[in-house]
Amino acid sequence: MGSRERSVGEQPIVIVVDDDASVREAIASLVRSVRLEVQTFGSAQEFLQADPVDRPACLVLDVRLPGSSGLDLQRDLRGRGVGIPIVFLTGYGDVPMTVRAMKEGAIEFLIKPFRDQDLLDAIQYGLERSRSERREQTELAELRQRFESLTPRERQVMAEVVAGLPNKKIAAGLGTSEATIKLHRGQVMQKMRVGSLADLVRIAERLAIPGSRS
Amino acid sequence: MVGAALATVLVTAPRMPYPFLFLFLGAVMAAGWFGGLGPGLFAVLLSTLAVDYFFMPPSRAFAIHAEDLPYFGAFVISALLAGWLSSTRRDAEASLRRARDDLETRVAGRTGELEQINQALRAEMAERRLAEEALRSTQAELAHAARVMTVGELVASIAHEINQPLTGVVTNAEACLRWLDGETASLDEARAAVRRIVRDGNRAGRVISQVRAMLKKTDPQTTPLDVHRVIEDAIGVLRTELRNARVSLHFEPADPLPRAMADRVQLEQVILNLLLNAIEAMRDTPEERRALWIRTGAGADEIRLAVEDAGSGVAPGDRDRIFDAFVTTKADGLGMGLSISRSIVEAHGGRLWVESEPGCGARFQFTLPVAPDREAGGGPP
Repeated sequence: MGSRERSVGEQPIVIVVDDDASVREAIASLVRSVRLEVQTFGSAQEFLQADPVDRPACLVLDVRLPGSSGLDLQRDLRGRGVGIPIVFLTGYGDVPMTVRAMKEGAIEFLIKPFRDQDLLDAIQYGLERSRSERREQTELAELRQRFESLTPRERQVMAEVVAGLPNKKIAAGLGTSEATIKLHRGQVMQKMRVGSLADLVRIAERLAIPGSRS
Repeated sequence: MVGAALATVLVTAPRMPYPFLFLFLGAVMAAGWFGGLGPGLFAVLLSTLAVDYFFMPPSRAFAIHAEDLPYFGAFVISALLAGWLSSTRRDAEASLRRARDDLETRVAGRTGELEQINQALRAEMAERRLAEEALRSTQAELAHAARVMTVGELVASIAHEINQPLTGVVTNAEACLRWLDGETASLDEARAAVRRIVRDGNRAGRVISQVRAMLKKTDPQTTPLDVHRVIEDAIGVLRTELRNARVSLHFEPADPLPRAMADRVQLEQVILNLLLNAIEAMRDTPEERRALWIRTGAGADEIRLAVEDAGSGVAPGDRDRIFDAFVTTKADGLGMGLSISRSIVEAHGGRLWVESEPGCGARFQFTLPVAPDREAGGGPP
């Protein structure tokens, strides 16, 4: 995991979206000064039209933008399943907006002018969240791949094993012998690369495999 | 008189071949001239008697020979004529003199009357001038009050316009400190940050100047202006308002456009008023249709400015009413904006009016006089 973070694809990036040039350039300079890469955009539209990033990222967004607002962008990204953490900035101090933004999952909501440390801390937290989210995604993808490698019969067996049924019952339900079931079970454990039933169950839960339990 | 004439003739007669009887005529004329008709006739009589007695044979007698009668008669007639003409002339002159004196008196009288009227007129003019000045100063005060109120309405966005560059200043300064002391020291980055601080500070300063200009109570000063620059300033002031209201702005300047003669602060005030009204008018318009057009053009001897919105329009019956004082559709407005704008435009010699159909938006237009062209077209305002 550590060596992978050194590769280019894992270099974090901060994306600043604010229609005011003074603010944009100042934040960019601040972020660069702590050795983080930064990209700036003047509107939500410009940001969406740019190439999507495949790196740990954090978004710094002004709530009031020309065209679609910062909050609209937040909802839009959520809808697309893009999970970039967002730090909101505002030149006004409206409370209702704050509440909405936080409820929709923003990391932080700062009022201009803000303390540089507050922004940088929020960005760091956001990048951490982004990193762990990406880790989670990668792992899930790996697990899913393993699951895809199971034969349909093996998947059936796994579902029943995870549901807690003993081999005898599974065999009876599927119309084969207990020995066959034991064989399948072994294959499942091997292909899924787990050493214990408990681990298998955990994987099943992560993959959200519908079990006969439900 | 006659005596003198007689004496002269008597004295000279013996010496001359002909008696100087005409001297009697002179005497008669003199008598008529200086004495009038009466004395003239008396002189005629005396002359006749003298001539008859002394110069008509027989001498020293009042008898006249028949053959001398024509001569004598002619003399008498001449004398009468002379006397009459003379006295008539004198009368004429006298009456002329009287007429002239009469005329003089009348002229003097009439002149006196005219002088009085003149004074009354001058007093009235002075009063009118005072009233006009009072009106101008009230207008200026009203315009100033309206500007102050507009600043009040805009204070939230003004604060925002100042806050943005201020955020830039603080953040750039914080970044600069890190560039100077942090692990990634870079003088170039630090310098760039400081330059941005100067730029942003100046930007905030400009907003303050604009607000100050609006709050200042000055006498209107008409100067040649580049109308487009003033429009751009007004758009700058309302940048935040336009964005918050989600109104898209289209500025279509005429090219080229001659300069207008106007007071800069008041012109900006009128433009701000029209723009703010337009934004307000579109409050209930669906977002995607909210649009504002600003157009300029030149007519014969005038500059035209139009502000058009896509709002709910103005009913035909209201097209004049809205320019009256205290008329407003805003729940919390005073309704002074348009009436003051119109009085400002008219004080410049222009007109402000609206064209609109209900449901199809409204176009407010006003005209301004063209600045006398020293140089044509663009130049610094």
